[in-house]
Amino acid sequence: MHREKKHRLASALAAAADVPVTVFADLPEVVLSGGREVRILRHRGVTEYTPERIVVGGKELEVEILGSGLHLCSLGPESLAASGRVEEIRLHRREEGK
Amino acid sequence: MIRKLWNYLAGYVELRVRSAWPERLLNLAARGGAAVWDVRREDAETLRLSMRMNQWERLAPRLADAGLAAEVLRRRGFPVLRSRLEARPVLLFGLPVGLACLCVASLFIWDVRPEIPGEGNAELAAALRQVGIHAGAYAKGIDVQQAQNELLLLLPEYKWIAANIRGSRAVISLRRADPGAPPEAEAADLVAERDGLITGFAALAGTPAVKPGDTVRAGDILVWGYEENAAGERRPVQAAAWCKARSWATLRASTDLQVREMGGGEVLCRKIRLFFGKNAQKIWPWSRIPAGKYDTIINKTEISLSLACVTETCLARNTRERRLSSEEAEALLRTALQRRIGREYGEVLAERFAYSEEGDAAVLSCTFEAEGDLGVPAPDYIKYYASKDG
Repeated sequence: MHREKKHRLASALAAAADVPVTVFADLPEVVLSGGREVRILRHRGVTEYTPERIVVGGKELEVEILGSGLHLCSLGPESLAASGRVEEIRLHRREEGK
Repeated sequence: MIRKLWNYLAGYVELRVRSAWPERLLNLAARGGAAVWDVRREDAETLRLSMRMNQWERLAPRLADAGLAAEVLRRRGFPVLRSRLEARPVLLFGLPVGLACLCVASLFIWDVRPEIPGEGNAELAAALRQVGIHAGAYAKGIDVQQAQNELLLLLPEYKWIAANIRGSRAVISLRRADPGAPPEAEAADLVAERDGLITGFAALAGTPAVKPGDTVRAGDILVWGYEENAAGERRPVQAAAWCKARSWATLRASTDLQVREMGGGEVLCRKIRLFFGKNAQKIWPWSRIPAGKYDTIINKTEISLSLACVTETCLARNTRERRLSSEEAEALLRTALQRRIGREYGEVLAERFAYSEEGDAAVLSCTFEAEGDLGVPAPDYIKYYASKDG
């Protein structure tokens, strides 16, 4: 319930400020560039990293990048960039309390 | 690119991390605010990555707690280079000193050479040194124009000298003056070109052999190709004279009465070419009409300074046969004869024409008296003069 309230508040603020909701909610933002590069903002670390699969944690979400020849080009506190042949991106919603 | 440059300036390390879960290093780095790049998985337990040197130094003590084993493969970047140079002070100071020496040395001339290898000699080298163009001379201190003028005065065998100073090299361009022909080679008698009666004569060079009123035959000497001084010594010269003479001669000209005349021709083809500068671009294919069977009319239109359009129109060459009338044939031959007499004999004083027809040929003969130049140089002077002298 607490999370739901926060989410609603963030949505309201984002709508008022005319900015993406991810900014206020601190949610990860995923940018896919032509199937060759994925950039994720506001991540919370790499959970798994292989050339076929990269799993990146985020608030409320876990982003799973599937493909071949994947590798991390850069990893910073806020952003992450992976390149290779991206075939699929899956979002896994985290369970409440995790 | 900028990020790479920045990383290079800050210095970075290439690491190999071994652990059952090497991704922990990535998360550890991300939480510590350290950026990593070029992360590659070598096998299930090994990661290879790059990280800035200062961030690695902060992160390294925490690895053991996280159960990670890291190995530094390489250290790269400006700090590494600086530390290497600090260990080699001679190189550190020698490099800028060397560069400074190179800059200073480039202000001087170190190589003086003629444009065409092999041209020039010790005399040229000495003259160049005299005007200040030599190895070790300060290039900016040379007044090139002044040096060129002085070189021309010092070396009269050259008609043109240019000194081009390019960096530390002086390239000397030279053109030799045309060697004057020896007077003996030009010496010649002046002889009569044809029979005639001399009406006016003045020797300009050489010793006169005739005088006004003399009659000469073709090949007779008009002026000897030598001059004598008071001591009787002879000097060969090319004889020259103003020599007018009257000549009498009969010339004959003939032509066929049956002639072929050009008729109107239809357009066979038209070719267009565009010229870009000097290069022609064909727009129409070349004609396959045999050469000689058509006449061409060429129109050139300048479109701009470098662009021109040339249209070539081929007209069929149609000819028809016609027989000339006697009047036409005589006029034709008379014009041709008069032109020849004026060209070869000078001004016509009197003339008489006789026209006749022999079958299909028209013949015109002209007996005339003309007045004009008579003398021509005899090129075989040396032999002739030697025989006379002997």
